[in-house]
Amino acid sequence: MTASQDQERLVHIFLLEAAGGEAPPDLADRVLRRTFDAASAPARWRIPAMAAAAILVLVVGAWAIFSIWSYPSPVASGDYRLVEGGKLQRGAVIGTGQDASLVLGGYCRLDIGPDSRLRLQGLKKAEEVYLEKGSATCEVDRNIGTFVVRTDVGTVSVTGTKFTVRVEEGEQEMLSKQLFVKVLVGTVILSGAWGNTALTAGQEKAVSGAKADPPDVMGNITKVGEGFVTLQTNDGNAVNVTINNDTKIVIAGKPANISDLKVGMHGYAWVKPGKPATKFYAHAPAAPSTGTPANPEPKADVFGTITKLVDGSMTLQKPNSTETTTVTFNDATVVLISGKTVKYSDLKVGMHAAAWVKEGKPATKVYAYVPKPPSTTTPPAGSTEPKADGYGTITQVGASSFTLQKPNSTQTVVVSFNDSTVVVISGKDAKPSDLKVGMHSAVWVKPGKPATKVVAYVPTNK
Amino acid sequence: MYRQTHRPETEHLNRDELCSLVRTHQVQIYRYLRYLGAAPDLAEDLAQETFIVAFQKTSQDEIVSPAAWLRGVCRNLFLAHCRRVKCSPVRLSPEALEQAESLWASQVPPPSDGSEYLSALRQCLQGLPAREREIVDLQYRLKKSRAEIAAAWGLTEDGVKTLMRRLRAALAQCIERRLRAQGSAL
Repeated sequence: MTASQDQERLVHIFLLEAAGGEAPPDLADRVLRRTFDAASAPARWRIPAMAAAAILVLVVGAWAIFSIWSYPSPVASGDYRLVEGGKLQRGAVIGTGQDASLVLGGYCRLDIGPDSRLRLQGLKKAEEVYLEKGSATCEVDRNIGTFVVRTDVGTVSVTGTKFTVRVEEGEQEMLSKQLFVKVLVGTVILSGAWGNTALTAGQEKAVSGAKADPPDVMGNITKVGEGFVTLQTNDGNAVNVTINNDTKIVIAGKPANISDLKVGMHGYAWVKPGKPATKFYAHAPAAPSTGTPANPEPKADVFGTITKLVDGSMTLQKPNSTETTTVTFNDATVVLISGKTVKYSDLKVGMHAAAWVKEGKPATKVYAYVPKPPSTTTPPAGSTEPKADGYGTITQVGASSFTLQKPNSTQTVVVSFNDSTVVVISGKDAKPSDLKVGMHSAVWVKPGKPATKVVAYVPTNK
Repeated sequence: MYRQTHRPETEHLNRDELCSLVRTHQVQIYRYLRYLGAAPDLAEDLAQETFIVAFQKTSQDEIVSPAAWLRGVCRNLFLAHCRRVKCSPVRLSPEALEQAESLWASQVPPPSDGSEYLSALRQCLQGLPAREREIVDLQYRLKKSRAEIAAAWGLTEDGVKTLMRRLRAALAQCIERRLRAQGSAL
C-alpha cells in the first residue's frame, strides 16, 4: 500500500464517521468487566468454591462455513440472563436459570445447562468460554476456528469432538479442585499445570487442580537458551525466564532438565522478578484436536450420495460412480445428521451419507450431512476449475446485474449476467432471478463481461 | 535477561486508572484499527484486548508515549489475528505498517484521538461542490453501491471509483491545510 493509499484510507475511515454515522464504541465497561471482575472472581488454581461442570462438544463433520464472511455476533436464547448486564458480547457473563442456548462465532453452538455461569472470551475464530459453573452441550463445526473451554483447573482445546467435563471441589479441601473429563467421540487435549493429556473416545480422566500456587508466567516456549527460556504469553509478550540448577523442571508430570524443554511446548513458570524460576512445568503444545479420534471408530461400510429414500431404506450412490447400494434401517439404527441424532425420516435425497452396515442386516448407524456448497475461493480437489474472480454478499439484484459487497468491507462490485451465465444456488441449478439479497456468492467474471458462473447460497449462521 | 510482565496485583492499574486509560485512548485505538483495515466488530474486540494487555503491563509510568505504545499493541494484536485466521489485512509487512503508523502519527498527533481530523474533514465536506457532496452522501450515508451511484449520476462504475479516489485525495489535502492552519494559529 502506498502512502497515498494510506492517506486515502485514513480519509475513508473518518468519512465513515463524518458521513456514514459510524461511531467509536465506549469500551470502558467491557474492559473493566474483563479485567477487574475476572480478577475478583475466584482465581484459577485456587478457588474455594464447589462447582460442577459438564461440557459436551460435538463434532459436526463435513461442511465448513466460509471464513470470509462477516463474523457472526454471539446469539443466546432460552432462560438466561447477563449477570453483569450490558450486551451479549465478549466479556459478558451468562447465567442460566434453566436451559439456554448460545451460538459463538456461528460455528460453536452451546446448550447451557441449568444454573450455569460462563464468560464469553476469545477472539474471532478462536472462541473461548470460561466456565465458572454448570454444564453445557456444545456443537462445533470443524475447519472454521478453534474452541477452548477454560476452567479453574485446566483448559480443554478442541476444534470438534464430543466430551464431558466436570469440575468438582471437595468441601474439606477448600483449595483443591478436580477436573473430570470424559470423551465420547474424538480426541480432546486437556492442559494445565499438571501437564498435557490427550484423551480419546471412551476415556475418562480426573485431574487435580494446583493448590493455591498459581504459576507467575505461562505461555508457549519460543526459545530455549543457555540458562533461560522465552515464553510467549497469551497477550503476545515474550518473557525471558531464568532457569538455574535449583529450578525444578517438570515436563508432562516427569522431572526433566532444561535441555528437555523444546520450542513449542507450553510452559508455566513460578518466578519472581529478578530471580531464577523456582519451578518450571511444561507440556507438549495443546494443539486443537483435528476432530479425528486417535482410536477412530471403524470406517463406514458404505458411503455416497442419497439418491432415493423409501420407507425403511435408502439408496446410496458411490462417489464418482453409478454404482448404488441400498441400506435398510430399523428402530435400532442410529441416524445422525451433521452430528445431531435424528430420525431416519429426516434424511433427504442429495445428502451425503455413510452407513455402518453388515450384509443382510439393517444399518447400525448412518451419518449424513448436507454437502458443502462449492468453495468460492478454492476449487474442489482435483478440479480444474479456476478460482472465483470475486465473492461477497449480494446486496442488490437487478434485471441483468447484481451487486456483491466484499466480506468485511464496504466495497461493492456490480456483476452483470446474461442467458449464458450458469447459476448454482445451494448446489442446484438455478436462474439469475433466483438470486436474492443476502445470499453469499462467488462469481466467475472477467472485466466488462457478463459472469460465466455464479455460485450462491443462503448463509445459515448470520 | 528477565523481564516480568505479570506484576503483583497491587501494582496493576486500579479501576479508576484503567477506566481513565480506556476513556482517554479508546477512540484513537478504535479508529487506528479501522485505519489498519479491521472491520468494526473486529476493531471493537481488538481495542478491548489492547487495554487488557495494557492492564497487565508494567507501570504506566514506564511508558513514555501511551498513545503510540497502545497503537503498537493493537497493531500486533491485529497482525496476530490476521495470521491466525489467514485473512488478508491491508498491511502485513513491517515497512507498510511503519509507513501507515508514520502517516497516522503525522495526521493524528498526540494527544489527539482524531477529533481534530474529523472536525477538519467535516468542514472540508461543507466546501465540496454539490455533486461531490451528494456522491459522498450516497456512498457513505446511504451505503449505495458503486453501480447505483453510477446509475444515479450517469457515470461508469470506474468513473465513480476514480471520482471517489480524487475526492478523498482532495479531502486529505483540505484536511491537512486546515490542520496546519489550526496548528499555526495556536
